[in-house]
Amino acid sequence: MRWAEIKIETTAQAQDAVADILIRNGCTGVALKGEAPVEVKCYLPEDDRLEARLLAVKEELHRLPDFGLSAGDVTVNTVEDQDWAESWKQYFHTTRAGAHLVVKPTWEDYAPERGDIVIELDPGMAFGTGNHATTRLCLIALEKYMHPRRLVVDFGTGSGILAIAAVKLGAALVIAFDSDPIAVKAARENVVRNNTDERTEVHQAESPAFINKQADIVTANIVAETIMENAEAISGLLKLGGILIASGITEGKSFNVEQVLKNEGFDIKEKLQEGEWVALVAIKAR
Amino acid sequence: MAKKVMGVVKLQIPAGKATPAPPVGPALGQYGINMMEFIKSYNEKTAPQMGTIVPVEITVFEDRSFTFVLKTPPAAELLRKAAGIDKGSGIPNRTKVGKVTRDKLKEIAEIKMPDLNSNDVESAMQVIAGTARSMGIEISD
Repeated sequence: MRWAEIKIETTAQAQDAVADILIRNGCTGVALKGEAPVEVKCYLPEDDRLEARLLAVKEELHRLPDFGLSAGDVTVNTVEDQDWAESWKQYFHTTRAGAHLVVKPTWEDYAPERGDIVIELDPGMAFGTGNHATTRLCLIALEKYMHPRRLVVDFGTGSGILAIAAVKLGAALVIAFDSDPIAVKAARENVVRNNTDERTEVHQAESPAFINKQADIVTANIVAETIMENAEAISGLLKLGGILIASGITEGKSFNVEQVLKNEGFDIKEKLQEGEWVALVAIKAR
Repeated sequence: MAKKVMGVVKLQIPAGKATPAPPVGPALGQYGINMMEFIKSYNEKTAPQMGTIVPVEITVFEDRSFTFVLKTPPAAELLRKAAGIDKGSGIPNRTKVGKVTRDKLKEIAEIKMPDLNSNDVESAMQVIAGTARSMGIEISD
């Protein structure tokens, strides 16, 4: 993928105004370097919106001196994402989660043992390699509570790892979604790579409101606040007796999440923990 | 013995929504650190502020381990909050989108003073007022 790298050398006084202009025009954040001058750097994807976005950025920067702020020089370069997007790969190796699940990066060889269920993954720029405790705990819980022919919803699918695991463990259908288009692309590619595409839908969505089916299992490897905010919607999605596997929760927030889930009619069935990270298995009881 | 610092990375990114895409990827990728570990921790710690920009300063050590601290919100974020608006104006000289009082401006200037290289509140206020006007926010008494 190609990106326009926008670099602006500005003053400490103008850095927040410059960053605001960049973020308002489509950058998903900025990197700052130095103090006098400050280098503000951001990236825009090279697509059909780029020209208009760059024009708007330049026009708005040009107006900053009217407000007593000095914008500084702007340079724009085209960069490929290969180098930095690949550097994390050194941390991703074949991992076992639970009794049978094995997560294998596409660039590593692995000779499966008897009974292994292998998930082959290139997470690209999405979250979910199975190397992080939050994902590992979900995989362990999924393996334990999954039964064949179930309908599974994967909330915040990231690389698609949990959706793929669910199909390989026997799910009839997995409806996966993520708000991040990069994650949706990575998940779709990984679902095809694992031949689980016939039983998986991957959608770009902020919430599960678009789903009009009742699920047996919901997996949500996100963050505590999002789980709590969506507890009612998740409860509405699940059949009575259905299971929620909620992860991405730190130890200190687990109590609050448990209370919110109980208020939404869940019983806490199991609490798995690795280091500071907790995953909750909750049954929809009411 | 203290570990040798390889670099310091400063980012302004959306709370609870960091991903390995730019600007996080290029900024951290060059140091070869475990980016996913940072992303998960940052998102978890900033989730209560979802919808805002939360700056972070990441210190990367020689052994590729890292620590990070969350910083005070950017002036633009504080101004948006004070004016009760979601985003600034693209044509601030013509379209005004909100107002902040001088008292609020002073409060923001005091918070941001360490980042502005300002020695006194008055000059910091001038900078914050400029940032406000550049976003289409008017200053009222």
